[in-house]
Amino acid sequence: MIMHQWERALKDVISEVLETMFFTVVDFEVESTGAPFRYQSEIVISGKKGRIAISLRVTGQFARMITANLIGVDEEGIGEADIEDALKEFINMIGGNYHVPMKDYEWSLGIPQAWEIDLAGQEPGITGSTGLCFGCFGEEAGYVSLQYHEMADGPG
Amino acid sequence: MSYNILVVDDSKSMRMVIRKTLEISGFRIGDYLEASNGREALDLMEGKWIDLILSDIHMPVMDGFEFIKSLKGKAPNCDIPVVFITTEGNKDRLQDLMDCGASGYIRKPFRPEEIFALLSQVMGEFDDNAPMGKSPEGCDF
Repeated sequence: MIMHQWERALKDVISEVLETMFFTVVDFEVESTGAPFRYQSEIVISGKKGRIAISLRVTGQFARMITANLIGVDEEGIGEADIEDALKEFINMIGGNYHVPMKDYEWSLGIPQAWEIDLAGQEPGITGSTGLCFGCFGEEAGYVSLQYHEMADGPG
Repeated sequence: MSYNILVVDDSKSMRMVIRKTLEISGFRIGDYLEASNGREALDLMEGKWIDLILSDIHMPVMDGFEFIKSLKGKAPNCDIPVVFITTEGNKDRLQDLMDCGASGYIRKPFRPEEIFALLSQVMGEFDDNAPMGKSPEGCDF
């Protein structure tokens, strides 16, 4: 995929997943302001030709909102484990649906990971440099990046 | 008639979503059992009467492929319909699941009506007069 294709595909996948399972609409026109992202999740798609790592960072407010929407409870009723679990599902669905157009049988989806970012160690301005920024209700809500590592040789 | 359901998914959130989706769909749930992987599901099923299994594929310890192979490999549980709810998009892998004996699959993200449509088909349109099949001997239910 060339740059514009992956960007288009990723936008479509994120929108569909958020609208269908998390009852949330996001826009990709929001300007990155270096919002303090609180959670990160990641999934790796591996194949013989290489590996694609999709990484997602979201604000605490956005994470809490989509978690509550997913499991159908008030935001006050959810804990950290619920948030990390929901974010794993989110990145899992992004990876799975991004993976669909890949015809190669050898591409396989890894186990999703999610964790709370150490805010003290977060570098300012790290967001918005590469990848896609998205917003919700006019505010920056998350950032998704995609890294492709090509295999020189050997099995994927 | 209500159905005893086993949901197998390592995500607690997804297990909650599936339960709520079934309830919204009008699916009459009897016993509702949950397991976080295939191994746990097999252990949980011993001595229990299950009408339907909804399972994820990508799970730690025992994934969906190993689970269905173990389940379909021996009586008395080999006739229980298994529907996979998964992010897996590779058609070859999904076909492999069907070849292993899956009754169907639904890809995430899903809408409640998709679940209802497939389960209606798998369970005989929730017909109260539909035969339930044979219960395994010695089961306590």
